[in-house]
Amino acid sequence: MGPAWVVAFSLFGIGGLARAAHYPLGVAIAATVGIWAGPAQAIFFVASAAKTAWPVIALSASLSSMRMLPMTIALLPLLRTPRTRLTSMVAASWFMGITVWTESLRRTPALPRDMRLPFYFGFAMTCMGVATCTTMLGYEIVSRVPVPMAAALLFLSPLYFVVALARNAKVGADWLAIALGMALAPVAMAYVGGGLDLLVLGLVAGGLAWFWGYRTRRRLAGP
Amino acid sequence: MSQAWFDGARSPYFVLFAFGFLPTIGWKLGSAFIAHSIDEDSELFRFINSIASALLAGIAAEFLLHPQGALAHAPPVARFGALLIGLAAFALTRRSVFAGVLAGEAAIIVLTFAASH
Repeated sequence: MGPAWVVAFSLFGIGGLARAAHYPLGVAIAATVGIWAGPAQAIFFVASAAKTAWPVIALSASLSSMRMLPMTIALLPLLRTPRTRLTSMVAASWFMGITVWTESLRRTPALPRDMRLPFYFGFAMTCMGVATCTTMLGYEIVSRVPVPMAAALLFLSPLYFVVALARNAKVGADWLAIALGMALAPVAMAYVGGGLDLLVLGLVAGGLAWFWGYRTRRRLAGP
Repeated sequence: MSQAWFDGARSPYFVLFAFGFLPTIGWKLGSAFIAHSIDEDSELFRFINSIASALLAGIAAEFLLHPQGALAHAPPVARFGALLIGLAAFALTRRSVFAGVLAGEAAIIVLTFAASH
């Protein structure tokens, strides 16, 4: 169950973020079980601590989860048998996450079709169970360990996200989105008021990176 | 728009439900109902993915610039230095996320310890 620890590890830091943002432990746990996506959870806790407007937090969390749609659509047909009910598919979609998706996509094709959904639920629930424990652990220990350790715990999520974004970057536009997102963040925080900074940052940095990639693709496909 | 209309008026559980849970669950549940596959090569999909990447990088930068809790005890040079060390380790190990995170974590512990002594 090695991959289960990857999720568990990344949510360990989120537990610390929830405590640092002064949320009760129950909210930290409910976020792991309900949202079940590290990036959206980090956006929720960090942005609400930074007094971002609530509709902008909701929109940002939603945008960060949009990649769940194609991922889920790609995996569900692999898990389905002709007799699988829609309720099972809806339940399966709840547990979808980056690690669960990667592992299931890798392992289920080798399994007999009627064994795939049980494997998926077993693996996904193990991940969620372990991650719930580490969320609680991160929340509880962040205020009880020496400062350098607590700092490292809070540093875990931003570090992991930047490195994971770099890992997934394939073309120049991907790198540009990361670089502009980071470089323009202080500008947006300083000059965009009304809690709209994240929204403007995403549209400007993400939009510029997309446009650059779009022009590159057009030129390569050109006459 | 600010949080004033909310603060003190509603439970944090309501806030999580309305602004964290509902906005994220739709994509997952929706996909269970969509029979046909959506086109991952479409420009719209690329555009929204690009926004999502920039947002995540931005939220990481925001937290490193204005950290909450114990990370505020680490000076800015330690926070961004440790991030660069993590990225360097990632690049030097043929893109290993594990090595990058491990090196960055080790760096922030050492740098925070050094800054507070």
